[in-house]
Formats: sequence, C-alpha cells, structure tokens
Amino acid sequence: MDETALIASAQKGDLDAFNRLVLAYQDSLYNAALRILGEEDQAADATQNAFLSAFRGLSRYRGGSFKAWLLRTLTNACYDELRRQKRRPTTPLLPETEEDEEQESPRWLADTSMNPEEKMEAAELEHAIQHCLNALPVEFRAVVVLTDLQGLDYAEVAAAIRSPLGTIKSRLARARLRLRECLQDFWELLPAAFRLKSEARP
Amino acid sequence: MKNPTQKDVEQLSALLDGTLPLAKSTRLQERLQADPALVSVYQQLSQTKNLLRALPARRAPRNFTLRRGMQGLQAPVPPAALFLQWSSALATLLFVFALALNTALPWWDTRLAYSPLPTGRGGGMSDAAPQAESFTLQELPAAEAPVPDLAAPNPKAAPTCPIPEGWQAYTIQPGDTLIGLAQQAGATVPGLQEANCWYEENLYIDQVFYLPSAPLRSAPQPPIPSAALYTLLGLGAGLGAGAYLMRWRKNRALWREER
Repeated sequence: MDETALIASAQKGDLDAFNRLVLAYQDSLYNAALRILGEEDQAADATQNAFLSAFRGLSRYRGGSFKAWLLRTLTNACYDELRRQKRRPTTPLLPETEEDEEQESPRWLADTSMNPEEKMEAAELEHAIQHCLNALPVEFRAVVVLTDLQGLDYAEVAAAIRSPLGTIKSRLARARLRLRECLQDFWELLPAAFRLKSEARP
Repeated sequence: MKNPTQKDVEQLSALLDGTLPLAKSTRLQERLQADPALVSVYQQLSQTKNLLRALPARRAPRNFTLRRGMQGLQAPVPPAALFLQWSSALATLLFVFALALNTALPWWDTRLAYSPLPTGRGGGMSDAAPQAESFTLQELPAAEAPVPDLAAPNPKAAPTCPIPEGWQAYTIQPGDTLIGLAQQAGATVPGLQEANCWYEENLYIDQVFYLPSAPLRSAPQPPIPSAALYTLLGLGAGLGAGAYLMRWRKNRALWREER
C-alpha cells in the first residue's frame, strides 16, 4: 500500500494503517523534537503526543506533503511540551533527598552555564550543535530545525509554525548567523571542511 | 565596503536555499563578486547549514505506534451513541413537557369542576336546590344517582327547609364534621344547623349539606399521577440505561482490542 492509500484508510479510522505511517515517520519526528526540545524524554513525549493528535485530526489533512503536515503537528506538540515544562517546574523545593538527608548540590543552585563536565560532553560535535541550538529562542530553533534538518521549504515551515513567509526568512537568516557565532567557540571540533579558510584559530 | 545589513543576510540566506527570485539573485551575485564581507557571511551561513545537515540522525528510542485505549482514542462509535449524545437534550425536553403538564392539569381540572353541569342532571337532585353549582367532580356521579337512597335522613329536612340565598350544596365526605365544616366555611355550628334544618350531631356520607361558601378542603381530587414524579423516574431510568450502555460500549471496545 502506498502512502496515499494508507492515509485514506487511516482517515476512515483504520489504526493499523496509521501505525504503518507512524513507523515510517517516527524517526524524522523524533529527531525534529529532539533538536527543538534538546532533551530526549521530552522529545519522546512530544513525538507521541504529535502522533496522537495527528490521528485525531487526520480529517483536517488535505493533501500536500504528509511529512510537512506531521511536522506541523509536532511543532505544536513541542510548544505544548515547553509550556507544560514552564508551568510545572519539577525541581523540589527543599534541598533534601528522599531519605531526608541534606543534598549537597541542589539542582537549582547549579550554574546553568557549561561546567567542565558538560564541556567534556560537548566535546562531541553533536552536543556542541545541540548546545548552540538550545541557546536560540524556541521560535528560531523551530525554523532552523524544520528547514535545515528536515528539509521543508519556506512555505511549509510558514504553515507549520503559523507565521508569515517574511518572518520565516528573517528568523532563518538570524538563526543561522547566531548558530555560527555560537559554534565558533567549538572551533576545534568543527570538521576541517566546515572551517573558513580566512578564520584564524582563536 | 560596509557591513552587510540584516536585509543582505536574509537575501544571502534565501540565495543559499535557492529561493531568491532570479532578478534579485543576479544582483546579489554581482555584489558578491565585489564585496568580500558579503562572501564571508554567505560562507558562514552555508557552513552552518551544512553542519546542521551533518547532524547524525537519531533513531526513535521506541515505537510510537498508537493503541486503542490511549487517552483520547475512542473505540468505533456504536449506533447507540447517536441516541446517547442527544439523550440529555431529550430528557430536558421531556422534563419541560412534564412540568408544563403538571402545571396545566390542576388548572384544567378546576375549570372542569366549576363549569355548569349538563342540564339533564336535575332529576335526582331536584330536592337539593338545582340551581346550586357543584364544585367537585365527585358530585357528578352523585347527581346521577338518586340521593335519597344514599342519604336517607336528608329528604325529610331538605324540602321543608328554606336555604339562605347564595349558599352552596356540598356533599359530605368521610371525615367531615359539623365543627370542621363550620370552621372551614366561616360559620358557626348552630348557624349551619339552623340553615340546613339539621339538628343531629352526626352527618352522613353523601348527604347534601348547604354551606355559606365552599369549604377550603374540597372533595379529594381524583389522584392525578404526578407528572413530576414520572419525570424523575424517567430521568433516573434514562441515566441508568445510559450508564449501562456506556459500560457496554467500553467493554465491547476492550473485547475488540483483545481480539
């Protein structure tokens, strides 16, 4: 069965058909969620929620790229996830563990900038890029992830995050520049091919 | 040579994605030839894009396939749902109808009771002031039946006794007493006795007695089934049936899933 047929029977309520679509797109959606949210558990939650609401709202799908439509649902799920996270912070108030012992370094006292261990962790390019993505405002992150990672075109991105085309263009340009600036700090990690000839080592 | 503006950066970014219109693209290419600062920005943008593309794709940590029973996913809708989703509206309509019926029935009943009785009624009741209006439905059968058989002492008193004008005939009901009737009609016991020429202390059931005004407690109404009561019963039954159907629906969905 091809994608169109699967979508058609999923629209009639066939869960098995929809699940075959899920299997085909779950990696894409999970990756997008991971890069937008920067955290694996949240990314998994957002992906699951996105598929759930996609199935429920499948009647609203009117042709076009199904992947773009799914990514649009995913972006919404990511925004929801971020809102939920903001609404119920999970940090315990008292600096005590479950055994009533005083915790030595409560999480909320930690320095949010990168500590030496995190820097070690970021010694991999992937972590460095994720770190720089996380430093972007979420609207910028969503645009750059959908365009450069998922390969959507401007119109699809505009539909996905419900913003005008002009906004997408300017956000994308700024996000790319800011990412570039951020990545300068990880200069030695960048593969040689990505380095500028004119760039001097810091 | 000046620093590239935000607009330049946007155009370069669009050029990189190949979405810049041809005219603008040609002009920008010309500027790129002459301006190393623009070239540098373009390269930076391009590298960022390539870096992002080179991000390793992660595999999904688990399958995100959906199951029936997941929050918000409902089993296929059974035909009963069509009825159930309107059941509360239907119940409300029924309730309003029953309420209206409940209000209208007593009113209708009083209208019947106070309307002049058919002319053919005179015969049996002739001795009991035919012009007197009856005020209960109960009197209808009494009017048909010859009164003397039922209330033997009455015929002796009634024909000879002048009834004060405006007094109304009342059929004695079980439980009526002289004192009680006097209190309810706003008269005294001797006054009633005098007017009716009835000097016994006892009253007889179905005896026709004259009172200055209708007693407050008129003859017991024929028991009208309370519409409100039926409404409550109906609502209860409806809710019960609804709950049962929903349960059945859930069980059926579970059974389907297991199968």
